[in-house]
Amino acid sequence: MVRMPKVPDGWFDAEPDFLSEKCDQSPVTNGQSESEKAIGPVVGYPEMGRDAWRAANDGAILSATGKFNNEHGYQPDDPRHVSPQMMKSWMMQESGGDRGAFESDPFQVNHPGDWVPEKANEAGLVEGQIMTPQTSAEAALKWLRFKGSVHDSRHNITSYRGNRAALMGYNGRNDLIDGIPFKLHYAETILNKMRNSYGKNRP
Amino acid sequence: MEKIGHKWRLAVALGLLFTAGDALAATDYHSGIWNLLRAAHFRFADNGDSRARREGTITAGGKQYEIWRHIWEETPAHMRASTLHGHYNILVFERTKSGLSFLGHYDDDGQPMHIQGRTIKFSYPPDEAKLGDSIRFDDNGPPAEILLNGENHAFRRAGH
Repeated sequence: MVRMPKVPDGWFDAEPDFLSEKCDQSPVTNGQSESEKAIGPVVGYPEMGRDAWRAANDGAILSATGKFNNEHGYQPDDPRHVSPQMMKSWMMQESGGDRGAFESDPFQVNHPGDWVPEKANEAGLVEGQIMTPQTSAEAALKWLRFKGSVHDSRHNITSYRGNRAALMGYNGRNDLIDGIPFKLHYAETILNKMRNSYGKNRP
Repeated sequence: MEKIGHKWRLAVALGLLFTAGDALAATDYHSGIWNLLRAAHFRFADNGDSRARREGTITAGGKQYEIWRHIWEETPAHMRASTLHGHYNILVFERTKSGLSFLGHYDDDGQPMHIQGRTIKFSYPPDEAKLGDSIRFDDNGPPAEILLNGENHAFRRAGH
């Protein structure tokens, strides 16, 4: 039996103060360059010794989230804001068990099975292009924003559904796992990883 | 002895039944609509992860259309990284004198659907349905663009 992770309703989308306090603190800098900064491990995904490769994309994540939030003016209390901690939890869900994927397209945003032409316009991707962690992270954030946005028939964005719903749209898988949609399980697993790794309950 | 023989025969019969069931369930990607899709350069996974089912027909403008649901759901055996992905399409065929012809498809989110007259209706919850929950064919056939649950989807004409 697969256990359904438990995230309280509205925890992610409705409690931005929590995120701003706990999840958006800049990591230790100590004069390090962006690529040398660390976010810290996600619970269940060790980064010591032979597992050190899992820390290798921290720079790409910090760079991509910084650029994304700055370009759009998303402050930590904005529901569209994405923290490095959320992004790292998301990346582990996508590729934390597969080093090959982790080192090429860690967010699996250019997966051939779910390619749609909108990814060219909205995420700046070319189908089948060679991916790097940096291009993957940047495209994933753009695609997440697109999938979380409500559009009208003229393609205008009218509202944002929140990052939980955006993650559900990003994964898109609609079959059931333990009676709930796979995409909901996917989103809540990521948010639980973030809470357990970087949140109030961090030991 | 008689009982053991009976149980053994039952076990063999059940085994054959399950084997036959698997064979029947396996998708033949070289017949039916799959050949039409392949000829039109519609990409699908011929490894068992793609499947399709007929949803119904629509008559509009003197033409008859067949609507199919295409489902791609990655299985662990074919998973590329650490999580499973899925993708869904609505396939539109036209029934002609010579058989089915693939017209094109929409990408969508895989919501269950049913057909009412000229309309494909999707079963969204009310708060999502108000952001678009149907595709209405007119005399010219499928609309060039649709809005489903706040997301625009273009009709992608088949490349023959």
